[in-house]
Amino acid sequence: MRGIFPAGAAPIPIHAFRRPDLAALRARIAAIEHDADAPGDAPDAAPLGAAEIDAALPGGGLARGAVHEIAADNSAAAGFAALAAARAAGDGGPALWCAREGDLYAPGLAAFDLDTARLIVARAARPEDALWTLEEALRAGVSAVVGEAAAGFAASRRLQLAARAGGGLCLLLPPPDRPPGALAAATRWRVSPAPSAPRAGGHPAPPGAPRWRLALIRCRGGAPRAWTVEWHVETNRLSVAAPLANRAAPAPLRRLGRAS
Amino acid sequence: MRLAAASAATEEAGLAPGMTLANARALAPGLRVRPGDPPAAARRLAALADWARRFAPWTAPCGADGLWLDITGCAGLFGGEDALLARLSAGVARRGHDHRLAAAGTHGAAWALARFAAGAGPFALPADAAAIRAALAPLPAAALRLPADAAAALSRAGLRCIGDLYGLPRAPLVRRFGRAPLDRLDEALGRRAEPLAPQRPPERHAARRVFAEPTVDSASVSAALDSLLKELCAALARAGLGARRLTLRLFRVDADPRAIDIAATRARRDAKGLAALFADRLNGLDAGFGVEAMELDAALVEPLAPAQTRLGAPRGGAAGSGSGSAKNVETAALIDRLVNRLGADRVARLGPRDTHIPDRAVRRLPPLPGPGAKADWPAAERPIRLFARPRPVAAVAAAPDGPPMLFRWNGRVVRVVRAGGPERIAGEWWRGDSPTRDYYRVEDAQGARFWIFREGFYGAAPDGRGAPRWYLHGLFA
Repeated sequence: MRGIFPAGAAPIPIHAFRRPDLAALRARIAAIEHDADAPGDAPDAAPLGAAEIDAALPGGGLARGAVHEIAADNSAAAGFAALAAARAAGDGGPALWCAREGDLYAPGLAAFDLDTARLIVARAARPEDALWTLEEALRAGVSAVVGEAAAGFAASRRLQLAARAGGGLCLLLPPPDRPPGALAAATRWRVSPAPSAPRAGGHPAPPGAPRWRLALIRCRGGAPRAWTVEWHVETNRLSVAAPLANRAAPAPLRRLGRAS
Repeated sequence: MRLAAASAATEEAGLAPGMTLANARALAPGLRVRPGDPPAAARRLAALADWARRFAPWTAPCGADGLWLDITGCAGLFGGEDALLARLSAGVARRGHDHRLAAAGTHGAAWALARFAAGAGPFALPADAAAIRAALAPLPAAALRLPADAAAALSRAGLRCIGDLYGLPRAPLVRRFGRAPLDRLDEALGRRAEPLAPQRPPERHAARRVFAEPTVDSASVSAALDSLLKELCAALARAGLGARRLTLRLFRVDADPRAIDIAATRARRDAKGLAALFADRLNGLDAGFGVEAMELDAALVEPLAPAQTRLGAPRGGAAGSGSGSAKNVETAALIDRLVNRLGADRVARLGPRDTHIPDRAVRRLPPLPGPGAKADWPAAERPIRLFARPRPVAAVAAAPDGPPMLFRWNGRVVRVVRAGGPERIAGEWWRGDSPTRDYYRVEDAQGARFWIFREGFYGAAPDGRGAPRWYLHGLFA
């Protein structure tokens, strides 16, 4: 019985074959892909709180013990990172934000449910200091680490291993001029602002709850997707604002165009 | 104008400190004069006192032109008093100072010998009273550290040298000259204690290494640091203390000592972790022509109870392992590493401050998260990035007190599609703040959001002063 398994791999429990349990198989694949220093120690995930998005991510959220990159040329990425860090930190340990400049504004972070009383803010002007800071924090077991830094492949691999060792979530916010290249990241996102639903009153009307266009451009174990989401400060809830914004509608529009 | 100091050559020509400049020029027409700078001289002297700490832990400037070293117990490290004096003399000469050295059992005797003994020195007196008595006897009364008029009064009475005072009855002397001469004499002879304060108080928790010869090898410096740390941490453990701040002083052959400070968020005495904090700072160190001594000093200590080490406790940071306090210790160690690499002003937590001025609403807190509750921020909508200085923008508003319709930012024109506000924030008059600001939250067609404000009012003054200006203050997420 044991002979049919490759050397070094633990036998797959027999019930996994009898009743194909997709989640168990996925967890096993994830463990193998993550170099499996301890099989069965598949990373859990921090759900973002929007059911549609969490369902599209393997594990039901942003994987802990992994690196995620959020690309943006605007400040929306900081909001999404704050939200993800808040979800990953939960009520537990501290979070760390390694900023490039001193313009991070705590009241704005708090609006995304990030508890600033447990947020260590470090400033590192040089990229090597920033990456060092991220790695140290991950190895120390900080549960959510945000770094405004670009990592090359080797650096992202180091961060990946550190995140794996510490079990924390690592979010990278590279500057807009990041050179393109491969990255040892579980997911890569592109965040851009989206027009908000206007509130009543005034001309022009006041802006409504903030909306972003979230593009999941790479996802290990998942397919690229895009959503337009809305953040509700009062209820601390992220919701998908327009499910059909996911490029499902062009055909009927074209037909309409011909008819007119 | 008077002479403050004169070189050896000019003193031979008959010049002396205190002489007026006109007299001095008459005696030595080719005299070169430089204006004195007593504060700078005092700084140089204090630096020299620091430098001299490589020979003894207790040093202090003495007057404007002297230096005390308490070499009690230090001579053995250098092979005897004479060898110590020779090395000290060579070092001072290398730094370009004329000097005279004397070592004696009392402050007064050393002072007198260094300034008044015949010959060039260095002088080393054996530490017994008879030797001091004999050595001081031929010196002039001024050698007793007396003010000039007191010394003059003694010599008018025929008491020209210190030996003249030895046999005299004390009571009439005090009646005639005051207490000072006899007090000073007793101090010089060791009959009366004379406490002096060193420039830096001698630290109780310190460890020193003196290298046999100067080293430029960073490996041997860090090896020495390791053993210093081990020694210091063992001493701290015995005392039940931990260090909050450590100073490593490297005494370099040809330069001022280099000090490296590290700080810890909590008291600690783990030699290995502390060595890691020093490692980064030692990397870029300029050893000059070599380091001849090292001193590690726990500048700030706090009680630290011995820690219970658990058998079989997992090493490293597996997630979820260990209790809450172990986690806290790990966070504290992380913060120490960050602070010592990035700088103390670059690691912090941010907390609310009770003001409605956005620029001042955030306060820096010590970085170690406490058990406190969630931070309580005002509910008003605030940007996620706030510029330290609001950036002036050219903006066009439809109505005098309305939001801007378009403005120029980053080289492009932003057309405002939605605008919320105004939120009027008045300056705190007791600080002399800038005038009232009207803040708007504006959104462009793509959904990017800006926090923009107008300072001043339209039609404020007929001559155009106080006309409104627009600034971009922050970016929303």
